[in-house]
Amino acid sequence: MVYTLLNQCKKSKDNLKARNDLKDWGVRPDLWPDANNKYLPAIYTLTKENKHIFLKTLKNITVPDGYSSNISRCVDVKQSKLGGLKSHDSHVLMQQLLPLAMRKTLPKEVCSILINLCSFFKNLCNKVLKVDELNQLQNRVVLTLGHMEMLFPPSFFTVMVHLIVHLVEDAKIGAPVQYRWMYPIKRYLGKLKSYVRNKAQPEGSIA
Amino acid sequence: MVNDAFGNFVNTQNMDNHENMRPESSQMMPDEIAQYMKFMHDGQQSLYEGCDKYSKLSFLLKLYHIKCLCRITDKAMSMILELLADAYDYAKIPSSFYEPKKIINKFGLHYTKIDACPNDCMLYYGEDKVREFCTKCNESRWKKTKKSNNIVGATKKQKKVLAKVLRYFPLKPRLQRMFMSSKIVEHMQWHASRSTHEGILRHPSDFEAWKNFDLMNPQFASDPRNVRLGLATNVFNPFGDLSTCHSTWPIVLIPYNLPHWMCMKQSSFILSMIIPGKKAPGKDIDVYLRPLIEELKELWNIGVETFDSHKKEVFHMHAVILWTISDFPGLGTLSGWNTHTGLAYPRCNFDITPKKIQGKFCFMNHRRWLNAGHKFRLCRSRFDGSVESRNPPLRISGTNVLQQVQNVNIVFGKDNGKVTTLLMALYNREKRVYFLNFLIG
Repeated sequence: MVYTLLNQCKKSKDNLKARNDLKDWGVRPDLWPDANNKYLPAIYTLTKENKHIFLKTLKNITVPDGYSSNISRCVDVKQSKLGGLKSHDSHVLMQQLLPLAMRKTLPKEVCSILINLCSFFKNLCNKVLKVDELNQLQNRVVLTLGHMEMLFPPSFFTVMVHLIVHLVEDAKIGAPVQYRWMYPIKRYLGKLKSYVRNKAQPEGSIA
Repeated sequence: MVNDAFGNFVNTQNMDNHENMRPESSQMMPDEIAQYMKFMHDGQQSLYEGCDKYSKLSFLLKLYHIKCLCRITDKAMSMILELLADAYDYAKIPSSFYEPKKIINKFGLHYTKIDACPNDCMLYYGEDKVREFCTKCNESRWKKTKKSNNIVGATKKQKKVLAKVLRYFPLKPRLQRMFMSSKIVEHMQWHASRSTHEGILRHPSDFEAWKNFDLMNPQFASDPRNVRLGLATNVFNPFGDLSTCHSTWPIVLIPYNLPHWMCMKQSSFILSMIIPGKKAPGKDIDVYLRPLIEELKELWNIGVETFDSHKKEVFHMHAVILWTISDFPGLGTLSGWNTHTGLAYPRCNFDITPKKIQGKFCFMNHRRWLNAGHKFRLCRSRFDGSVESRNPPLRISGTNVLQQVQNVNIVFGKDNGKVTTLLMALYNREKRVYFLNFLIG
């Protein structure tokens, strides 16, 4: 999503093909590309100045030790790029940092939807869940996704975006996300990696 | 691995635990446990006469712990021990590393090597243990030379080299040790004894899956000591960060009986097996899971006699896997559901209309989850140009899944491209096993 906002060439989901999809479906004519395959920036695309502010906010953030990796290192303000994020960094970015960075730079209608999404993740990752709160969360996230469907081009909606609908249901059945997420296991695998000494037989040196 | 086992579980806790063991309790125990108790009892002899602080066993364990933490080689260890034995000849210090290794093996936390077919068709396990060639692809069990395609060591007087080895860490002794240590055993029943509040959900035991399972299996639920596990797996590259030339799949078990401050810590993870590289197993992960599944089946049907060091009694412990944790590609591997098509998400199952744009699938039907009369449902122009009238997809039950998979015939091995494609087309899945899957991360 961030990449779409920044319109970073390869990772953005908003490109010529995506705009052509809209034309094929016959919806949202304001976003269609013209005969020369040129298209106007959408409402969520950041301008150059706003991009600068957005990335600078991320650049200046310092987090407690062990909270996430040094995100300011992933930011390149000059080329207005963001790269090298690990999955846990994206998690932190989504929950905590993105609302801060977006507030000033994006138009209000886009910003409120995305902040809604961020706060959904934050609420879902609570260590203590309440049944009625979960039901409210589900209603809220469906509405948010509806708004997002209106906002972003169809190719934005990969299966990973679709998963968001099912997260609350999963939490209702299983457990708080802390018991089911990959992060502790990834840390454990990192530890296993440090055991590898004989590169010809990595499995043996782990055991 | 050894580090984990000794660093956190055994080292301190087993030491405490055998202090309150009484020899008379060993009479009613099965042989294995009795033997273990005897071994622990023998270990209590002091390091030298008049030494209260260290027994011989605790000294060796501490030393072994240091070896694992600092990665001292076996040879260096032998030399240190030799020096110590020479300098303090009144103490019972062994003069080489061989003896401590033997002693530590008796803890029963070692692993077994199981040979595998290099094409992932089968394991040389159980009745196939003595075979030399794979039953399916007729590939040799032993490693071949690249040039002449002969088996390494077949002609000369050297040893043959195994082509592929699965390292399996038996689950039963690990669970048994958890109950033997007096510190962990209380925590293993924590989920039953804690106070709960209505409507506030904190631990997996508050949630639907756990409660439903208890209702369906009252016998299992009657003893809070029965273990509920989670199975996690992920691809992992043992070398650099960015190279993708090698992928190993470790499988980790998580005991959910433990309280929330212990359960997701690295010290309580149980490494179950390391599935060897160099290629990812794909659907053949089932072949490798076989020893684990067999052990779990035994734990579920028969149970294993375990000594509870809190109540000082022997009981039949059962265990079950509640769910699996993996990332999205890992989900495809574990469940066999094809995650690359328009029907990618298994929870929606077949109740979804795939939409293809520019060769890619998009998943846009989120209006289905809205209330029936919502204005978004009627809006055409701002969405995909249609009115949404469907209800959200129904939750798929276990019986449905069983029905779907009962006709799937699987052939394991690497070169079965045709069969796999056919299965994919027919059932959208490549194999039978289906876990309740959760994925995040």
